Amino acid sequence: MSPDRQPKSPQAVVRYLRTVLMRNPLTEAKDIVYRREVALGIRKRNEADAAEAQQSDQERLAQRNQIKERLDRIRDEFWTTSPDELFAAISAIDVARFPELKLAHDRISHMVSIHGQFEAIHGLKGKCMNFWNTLRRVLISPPSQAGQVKTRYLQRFRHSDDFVRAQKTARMIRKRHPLIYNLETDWIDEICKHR
Amino acid sequence: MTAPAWNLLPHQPQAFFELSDEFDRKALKRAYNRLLKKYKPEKHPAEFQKIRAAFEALDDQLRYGRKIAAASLLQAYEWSDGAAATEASATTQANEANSRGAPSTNAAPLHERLKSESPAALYRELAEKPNKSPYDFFALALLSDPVTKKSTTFVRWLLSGLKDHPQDLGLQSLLREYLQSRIPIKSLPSILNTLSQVIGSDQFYFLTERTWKRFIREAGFETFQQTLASCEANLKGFKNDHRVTFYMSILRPAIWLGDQRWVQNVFTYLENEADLNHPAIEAEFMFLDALRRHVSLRNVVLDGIPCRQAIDAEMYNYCCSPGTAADSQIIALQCQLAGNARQLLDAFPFQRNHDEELETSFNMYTVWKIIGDEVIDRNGIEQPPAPTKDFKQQLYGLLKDLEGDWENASIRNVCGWIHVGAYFAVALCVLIVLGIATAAVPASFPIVSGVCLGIGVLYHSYLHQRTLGRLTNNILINKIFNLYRLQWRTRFIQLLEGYQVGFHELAYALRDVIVTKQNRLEASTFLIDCIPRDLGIAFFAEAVRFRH
Repeated sequence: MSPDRQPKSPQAVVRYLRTVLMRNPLTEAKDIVYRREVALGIRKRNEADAAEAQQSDQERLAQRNQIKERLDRIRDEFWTTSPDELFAAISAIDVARFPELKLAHDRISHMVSIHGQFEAIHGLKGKCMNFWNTLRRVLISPPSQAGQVKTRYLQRFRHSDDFVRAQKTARMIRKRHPLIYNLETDWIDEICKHR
Repeated sequence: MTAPAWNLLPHQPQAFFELSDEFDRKALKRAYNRLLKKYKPEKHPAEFQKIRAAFEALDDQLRYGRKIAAASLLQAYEWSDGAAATEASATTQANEANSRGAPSTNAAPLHERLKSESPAALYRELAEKPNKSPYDFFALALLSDPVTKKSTTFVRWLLSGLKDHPQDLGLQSLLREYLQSRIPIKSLPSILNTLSQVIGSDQFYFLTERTWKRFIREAGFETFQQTLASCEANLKGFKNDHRVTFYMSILRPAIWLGDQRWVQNVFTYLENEADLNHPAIEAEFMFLDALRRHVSLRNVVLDGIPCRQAIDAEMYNYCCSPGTAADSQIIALQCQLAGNARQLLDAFPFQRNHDEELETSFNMYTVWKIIGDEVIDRNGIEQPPAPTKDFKQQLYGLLKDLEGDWENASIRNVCGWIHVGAYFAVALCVLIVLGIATAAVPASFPIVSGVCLGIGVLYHSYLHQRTLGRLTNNILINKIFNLYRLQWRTRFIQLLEGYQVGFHELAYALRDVIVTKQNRLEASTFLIDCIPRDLGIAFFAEAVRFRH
């Protein structure tokens, strides 16, 4: 044991030894090895040990759940809340630790940033309301729900009365609102090309 | 379902899972999944972590066929530095009872004595003791650090303890944990060699498995190979199943980092010795085999395509990184792929013919899928239920919709008219011949008309199908495959987004629907051939399982 890896004082040595000598290696081996490494200076105390890592995992899962709930709330209120409030709400969410939620977060952030375009289309006359409402639902829903809505719409739309108007609206969005179109390229293309 | 007995954790995982003494990995997995249904990680993170840790502890031991310390054994296995240690020993260790002495025959426990005595004095006293108990060796190992100031004495005392008490579970457990700690890599060959001499049995593999995984990564394959060979030379009378388990585990990094001849030798050994009828071993062997094939042909498969390279890089990280370190990167990549289906469809274009490249790419998918399953399982990512009736209805709806596309395809109508035109031309020729022949020799009418009829039948039943029919069929089939490649794939992507159905489930459901509704479908029946060989769809189906 090199001198720099020794505990700092004899009291610290005794404290460490008293703690580990009371441990049972059959069930506490991880903890014993961790304490030894800290005592010898191999590992710094603030580095995550097994127990801390477990605690951190628990916190991570709880935090992920909270963020999911907050994203769901924003989704629910997206069309009835002002862009400023939406911006504040989405900016307050940090998804750096959760790659699995980053995609949803980025999509909603992007939608908040182009909120004005949604309002502009909403005010247009002559658009196909059915298609427009479906598109709004698709854009804001979680992927699994959105996928089901898209599939159902495509199957119904060919036989619907507003087939032509829906295509016109879809083409208009594709041409004049590429930032919205880019969010659902394949689906809008599919609607445009139906005969 | 009643609440589980949390007080049994972490010491009695078997009792916690309510498993009988003869339980196997299947029963453990069943019990684990039952609890997971109630304690979903996102709603009960603390409980999930406890359940997961208990599961892993048992599973780790089961892989090596080690007898799990049952509750009764654990209760009997008292470990203290008081006099109780003398009497308390595991039932399996009864033969060692005589040698189990308290560290100090009549004094207070060691941790109490440290208040008034120096560590050096206690160390000397224990070192001179003739019959040392497992606890004595444990205490000597810990005391040796500050007393001798040598980093190697800790492990030497543990090894001495195991030499005298080879079955002691406490010393084994501590040594196993120590071997996973931050030991300088250059010390490992010596420690592993000594350990192989001291243990000398198949327990060596269980105790050192994770250490070898670190060793192969950090010391390089050649050093790993030499050290392992010299350690194995010290083992006597080991059972093959422990060695099989060990090699199956070490192959994951070795396939990436090792020498291909060594890998091939290990495979030959596994083929000869592993019980491939055992489902868990068979599944792992299948994974390793697909991984080996992928690694050996990866330059061909990756082909400079960034998306494939990203998947391959994560596969490498997953197999070679310690523990669960690579899980979050896998999740991140899967989510990114799920959010960009176009990238996947372009990276894995649909290939109509089943060639060698497709087969090697399928190896990549097999490996990726199994890794995905493991990550989902370990991180408790919620999975949708099996395909429902609603899914099949939607699938049928989609097929009908695709049939609509097909009916509108101009080439289909053109081919239809070509057939009509061909029949018309043949009929016209027959009539002309009949007219000319009858005009020239009126008596020949019955014979000529019979011949003409025969020509007509021959054309319809034989010539048409083999000439024009074959030609138009080829054109139509090409068109269907083109439609699939260019348009219909995205429809299946949307369906998968909505229903998060696995790739194989999709293929089975499609087959079911097509077989049931065959009479009402035409072009979409060809999808039976398209979907199962579409790797873009396969990778996407895998990725959407991770998406929120």
